[in-house]
Amino acid sequence: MGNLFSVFQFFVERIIFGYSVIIISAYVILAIVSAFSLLRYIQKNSFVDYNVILSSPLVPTVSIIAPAFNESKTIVENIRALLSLYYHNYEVVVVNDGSTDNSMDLIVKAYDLELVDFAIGNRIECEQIRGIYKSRNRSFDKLIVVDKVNGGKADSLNAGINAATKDYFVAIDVDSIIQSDALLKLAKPFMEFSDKKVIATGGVIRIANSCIIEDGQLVEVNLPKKFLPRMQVLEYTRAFLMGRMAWSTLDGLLIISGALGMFNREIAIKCGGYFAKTVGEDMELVVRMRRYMCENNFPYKVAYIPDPLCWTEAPESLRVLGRQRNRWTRGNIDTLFIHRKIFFNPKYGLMGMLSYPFWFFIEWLSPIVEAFGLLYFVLSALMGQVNWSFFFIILGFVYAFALTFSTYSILFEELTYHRYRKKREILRMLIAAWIEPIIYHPFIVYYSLKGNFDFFINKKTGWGQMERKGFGKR
Amino acid sequence: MFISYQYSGLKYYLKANNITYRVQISAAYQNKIPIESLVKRFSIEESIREDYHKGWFKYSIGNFPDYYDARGYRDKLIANNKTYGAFVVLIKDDIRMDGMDTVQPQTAPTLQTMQKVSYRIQIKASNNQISVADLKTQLAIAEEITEEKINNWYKYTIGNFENYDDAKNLFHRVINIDKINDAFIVTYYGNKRVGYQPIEKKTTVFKEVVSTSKIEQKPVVKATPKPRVIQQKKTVQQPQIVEKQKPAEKAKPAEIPKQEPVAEIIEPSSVDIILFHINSDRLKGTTKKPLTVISENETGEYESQKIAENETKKEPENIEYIEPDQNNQPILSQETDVESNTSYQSNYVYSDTSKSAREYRNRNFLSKFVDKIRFNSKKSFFIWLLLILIIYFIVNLIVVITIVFISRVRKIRKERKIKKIEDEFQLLLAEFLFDTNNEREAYNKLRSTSGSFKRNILVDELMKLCVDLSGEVLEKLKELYFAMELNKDSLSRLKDNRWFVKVKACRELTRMKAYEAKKEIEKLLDSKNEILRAEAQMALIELSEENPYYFLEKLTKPFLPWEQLNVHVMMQRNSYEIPDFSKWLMLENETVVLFAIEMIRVYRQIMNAPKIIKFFKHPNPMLKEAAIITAGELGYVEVVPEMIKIYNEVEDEFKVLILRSMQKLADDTNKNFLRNILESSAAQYIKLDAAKAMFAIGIKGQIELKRYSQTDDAELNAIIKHVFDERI
Repeated sequence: MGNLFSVFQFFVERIIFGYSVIIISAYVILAIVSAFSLLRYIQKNSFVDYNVILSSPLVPTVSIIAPAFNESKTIVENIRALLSLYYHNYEVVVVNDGSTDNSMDLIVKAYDLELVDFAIGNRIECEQIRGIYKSRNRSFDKLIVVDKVNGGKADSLNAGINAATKDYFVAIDVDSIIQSDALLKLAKPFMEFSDKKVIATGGVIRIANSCIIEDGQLVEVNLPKKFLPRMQVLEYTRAFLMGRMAWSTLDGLLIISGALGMFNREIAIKCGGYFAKTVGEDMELVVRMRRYMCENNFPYKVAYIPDPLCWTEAPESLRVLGRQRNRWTRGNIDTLFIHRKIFFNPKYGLMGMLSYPFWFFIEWLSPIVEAFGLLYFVLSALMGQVNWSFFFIILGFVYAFALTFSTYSILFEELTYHRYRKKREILRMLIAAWIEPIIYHPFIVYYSLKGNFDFFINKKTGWGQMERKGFGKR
Repeated sequence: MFISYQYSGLKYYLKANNITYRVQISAAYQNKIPIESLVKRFSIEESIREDYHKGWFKYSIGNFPDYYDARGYRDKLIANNKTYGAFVVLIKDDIRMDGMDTVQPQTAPTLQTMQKVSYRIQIKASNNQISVADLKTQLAIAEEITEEKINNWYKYTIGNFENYDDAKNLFHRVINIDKINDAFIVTYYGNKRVGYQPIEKKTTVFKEVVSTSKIEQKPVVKATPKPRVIQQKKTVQQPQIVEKQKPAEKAKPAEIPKQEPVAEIIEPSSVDIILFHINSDRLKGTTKKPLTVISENETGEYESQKIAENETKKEPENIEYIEPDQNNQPILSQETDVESNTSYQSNYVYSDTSKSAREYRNRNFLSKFVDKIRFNSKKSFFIWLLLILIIYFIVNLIVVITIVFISRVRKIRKERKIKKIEDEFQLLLAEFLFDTNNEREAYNKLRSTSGSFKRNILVDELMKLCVDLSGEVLEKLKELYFAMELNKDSLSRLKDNRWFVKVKACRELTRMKAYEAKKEIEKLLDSKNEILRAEAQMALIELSEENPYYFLEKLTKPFLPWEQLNVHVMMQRNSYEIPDFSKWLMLENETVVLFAIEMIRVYRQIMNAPKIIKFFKHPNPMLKEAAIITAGELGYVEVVPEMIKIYNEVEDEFKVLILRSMQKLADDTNKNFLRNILESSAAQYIKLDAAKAMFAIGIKGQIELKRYSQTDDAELNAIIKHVFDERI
């Protein structure tokens, strides 16, 4: 028995060690790639005059699809903000996903809507459409409201894609604040290549808690006053500025946030649109579109804009945060399982050989390995088999690394977009970086484990009735 | 004061306490070693016992009631099974004891107080006899020198002290003043030389004892007034029994037996670590191996001691040295056979380590720390790496945080500084451009601007103004730019290696109409950097007023949609004549051809419509798409038959484009074609576009559509309703 445990120890320690080396190396490489990409993007962008997009018919035409479920508090303002975005040729498709509050009445009244005989296409399956509304007021000519039976966010987006008439669509969360120049910036990558088709573009999502918002527009950026949202600021900054930026440069980006992303409509339709039976519909669509392009040997690209284009409200309570992270975890697992064919399949290029394995081994498995490592440590400690000096060195190393990584993300934000202008805010961000690994991170690991448990044991796959309130931002 | 340790009494004691001896062959800290691996490694057939003892897994074999039987077995194991470092351990009541301290000798029945202990300082040893007088002269020593012959060695000592401190004082003098570096303290029991005290220098607190060498006199047991068993802990304040030796075979009660086990007393002051060292061979006087031992002193430093017999020459080479383990305790060397709290690790034991010992002594704090924590698989390299990385991360963090704050401060300062200079320039420029009274003075002040920092800011100000100004004032501004030779600055920047510097320079030269830069800018058309290429294209439009779009023919790189967009906007903003874009339809660069088709559509060059029909079947889908859309936009009805002809050959997305073009063409000859589509099994969205095209024909088409509204086809009905709903 003792020997068995020794053998077990031998393998476990080496596996965890090897895994840690891989994960740390991966993050360091991503950070380095991100740094160079960000620098180049900022330099390049300083010469770009986005106003040219406003004055030419050569730009892509865009449909903004905004699914809404019980958003009565903000929906009227948010639609107004969407209608006043800077762009030349676009429409706004609001999809009321069977709201049980008075959202629909409010919209009808505010925008003077009436039912029209819109023959909505059925190119992608979706729940039954109750009716399509257009405004009598010509100034709201670009607004289309689709009223449908509740079917979830993915289903609403599919309905929106069917109703859309433009070449490209932008999927957003209606409760998010979209920067007025977001469409200009999202559209640009579609015009930057002639040898390959850009199938999607993603943007950076930022936390809007404690920011001042007027008429659906962001007026003043502030660092969240509450603990949880502030931690998420750090988390988002790290993920968007250091992770996705690098993956975009490496052309291995697998996810575009559901809160804001622009897609080639025709490709999305050919892929079958959003998969309504998953909670990770945003990632799943990108992976499916990439698969479609790979399988048909079409040269393509998934682009990414590091500009903060969308501001969203982050969960302020552990309960809501837990639900959100649980959902994200289930979404990730679902997508990885659906597209398991890609796993180390050279046919899918970098996506198969690097991106997918990264998501599999690091994004999905890391919380599990972390929890297992903790359990193993406790067991070893109870059996008196912990070399405490060594333990503290390893702990110190991991903590120092986490801290350095977060601090670099703050540096990236500071040197690039510099959104948090008050001196106190940068200090608070640094303090948050100090305490995040100790206080916040364990919760994230726990919620991720819960997500795994719910996926594999409870077989929970849907959003759940209550979970549709406030779409998750990713 | 001495303690006598009678062998027969010891045996009685051991038996009464159920004490046996085993040979420990291996140990590992916090990790078990598979028994099979030990069996395989040492080729041992006997059963191996595993004990967990103070954090160590210890493995021993054999079971002997007699200590010397165990010793013999150990020697055999080392010789035959290569269990280097094996040593004898004591088992009491089937429990592995913590070294000899479990024996509790002070309670043993045969401990007796014997003769006086004295100390002398050995200053010389030689194989040949030396005259005492000569030696006295040679070493310049005033004290009386005593000569002894032991094992064919002549040994010379000075002093004879009952008090160890007195001996120590003399010893220090001999070492420090008389410079007899080989001197050491020898312990005597009565007149019998029984051992020696280790050399002790000012910082040396290490105590080591070896057994007595073979001497003519009877072996003795030494004791202190307060005898105590070894406690391997720091700062021992009591005298210690540090050695127990082989009992004599013919022991007599109440007498000092021959080759009695020897217990050496260690000076109580400031002893950190006591090391047992028993060597039966030495007891017999056959081995004269010196032993170097590393220990930690009270100041936290490590000291090494070379413990030797009192020979002064022909020192054996095989010196062993022992490193401390993680508990600051020395690990016993191969020669050690008394239990300590640590176990033998072969890689911790070195031979001929006088140099190593010096190096070890010189190692820094971190080295010692690494040694403390390393165990088994945790190689010191890895721990070193981790420590270096932690230090690196911390330094990195400090640097990053500093950069964050410094960059913030610098950014703010720079912004303020620039703002101040900008304000000055704006005032001067306003005076120069609009205030005729101060024009000259302002001009002179502006011209006196020196330093690249200020000149760059001035250029930026000129660029900003340039956008909003026109006519004479603009010309005046340009005059200033050239008069100050700012164009030379821009031209030199155009040759810079950094692409963004080039872009900025290109922009300056373009706005200021520096025609001399045209040739240099033309080179940028082939740049790998797409931003630079786009900038060069726009610059050449501005600088080539007579033939602004000539560069299109020179393009070898793809003319990206973003570049096309920018060139189109330039066309809109400039007052240049719109060219006939058909001249670029024949170019090899398809991206330029695409731009030409798009421009034919945008500028509605209907005369070029026939020229684009050939692109309907072009393999490049982008050209095909642009041609179909353009044909529709231009209202070139003649293309309809061609469209109908290709309709069935193209993919659905092109079918939609054809139908949308037909909506613009509104030709009633399409009616049958469209009717066929509406009645076919085409997709809903294709039928919708077909219905829209039918509706666009006019009244005839609408009548045709009304006919379908009476059918049972719900999908078609919805489509008809859709096209007739003017609100959509």
